[in-house]
Formats: sequence, structure tokens, C-alpha cells
Amino acid sequence: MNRVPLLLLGCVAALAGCYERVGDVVLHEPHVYKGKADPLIARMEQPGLRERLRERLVAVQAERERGQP
Amino acid sequence: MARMKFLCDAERCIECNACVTACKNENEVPWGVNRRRVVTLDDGVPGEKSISVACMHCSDAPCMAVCPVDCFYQTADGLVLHDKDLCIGCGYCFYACPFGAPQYPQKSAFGTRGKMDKCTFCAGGPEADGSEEEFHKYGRNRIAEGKLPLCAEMCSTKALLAGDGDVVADIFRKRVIQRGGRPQTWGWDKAYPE
Repeated sequence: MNRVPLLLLGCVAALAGCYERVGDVVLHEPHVYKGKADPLIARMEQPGLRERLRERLVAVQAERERGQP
Repeated sequence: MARMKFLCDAERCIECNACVTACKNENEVPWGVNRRRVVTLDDGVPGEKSISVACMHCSDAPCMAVCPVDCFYQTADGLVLHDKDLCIGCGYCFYACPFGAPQYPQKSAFGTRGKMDKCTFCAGGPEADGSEEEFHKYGRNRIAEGKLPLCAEMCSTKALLAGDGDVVADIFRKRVIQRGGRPQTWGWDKAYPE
């Protein structure tokens, strides 16, 4: 009896157990951040926020002029 | 584009530690971790000087350079932030930082380090802005709310400045002109005393 097809089938079945899904693996590259994207970065690009922060800095932390409340 | 910077005016800091308290309270920083500290030179001697120190959000941050898992990222405004999900608590950033900014909570027995914690310039982390998860991991995200770090905003003597580096430099320049000279607290005479 020819056992070759049966042997091949056995080999394929055995190798199937060695399968590793590589899609979920994050490969490391030096000095490349691969974490979650910070939504603040996009928010900072929206018009107005940087200006608001600048105005707040001047209003809160700058010296008060004489007579200014 | 200007970069976000901290600046502490040593001529004005009165070592009240209110910035430290405000930071801990606003961000609910755990026990054992101080994102901000007040350092005093010649403590107790007339003429002592103090400065408030936290992460300085370096332009070429050494913590970023040494991190083996690259958990740090830098925003366009120069804020150095990190992802605690990637951090392995190795402590390399602590050794690299000249300001001692990275801190580690002791999470378990035998001194095991937890995830690194440091000043975020009140800008949170990579979680959704203002989310509970972000607050739990990184503290409050005041920048997204259009506010500046609380430590600087509530400084009673306005010694600690935080915000757009150009504006901070302008404010400090005016002070120096008004005082009639450059402070020598960290100047040549301090570095090379006779």
C-alpha cells in the first residue's frame, strides 16, 4: 500500500500546529514610537487652541501693570 | 512654531512648595511620586536660592534617546510625553534625565518598579482627551481644556512660568531689564567660583 499521501497529510497536519499569526506583532525599530496616537496632537493643530494658551499665559503669568486689577 | 517651556525665576521663588502640592492634587499623583520638586541652594544661609524643578520637556530629550521600548513621543509643541502601556519600568530614563524627572511608584513588594511617571505639562497622555483612563494614568489634561499647567498658573510670586517659550522669554526679559541686570544665580560666578 502506498503510504506517501498519508505521510504527507500527516506532515501537513503537524506543520499546521506550528502556524504563528504575525499580524499582531509590533516589530521594534529604534527611536520609532509605535504606541497609541495622542489625540491632543491633532487638537493642537486646530485653530484657536494655541492662541488661547498664549492669551492665558499673558493674562495669568505676566506682570500686572500699575492700575490693572 | 514656539515650544512649550517651563522657567523658574530663582529671584522670585520663595520655596513655598505650593507648585508641588498643586501638581499632586491636580493630577492625583500617588504617594512616593513627586512630579515636581523645589530645590534650594545654600539652604538656611542668607541669600539662599530655590527653583522648582520637574520635567523640562527637553528639545533633545535624553529619556527618549535611551528608552529601549521607545515609549516616548514628542508633540509639535515640544512636550515630551509617554505611553504607560509600552513602559517596562526599566529605569533607564531615570538615569539619563539630568533633572531626576522620571519617577516610579512602588507597586509591589521587593522594590519592584511600576510604570514610569513624570510631569506631562498637564497634557495627559495618548488616551482620549479628558477620559477617565487618561486621568487615571497621566493626570489631568489641562492643555486640551485651553489651560496651562496648574503649578505655574497658581504660583503666587509668578516665579514659575509655563507656556509658549517666546512669551515666557519675553516676560523674563522684562523682569531682568527692570531689575537692572542678569541674575547670577546660575551664572558664571556660580559655575566657576574664585
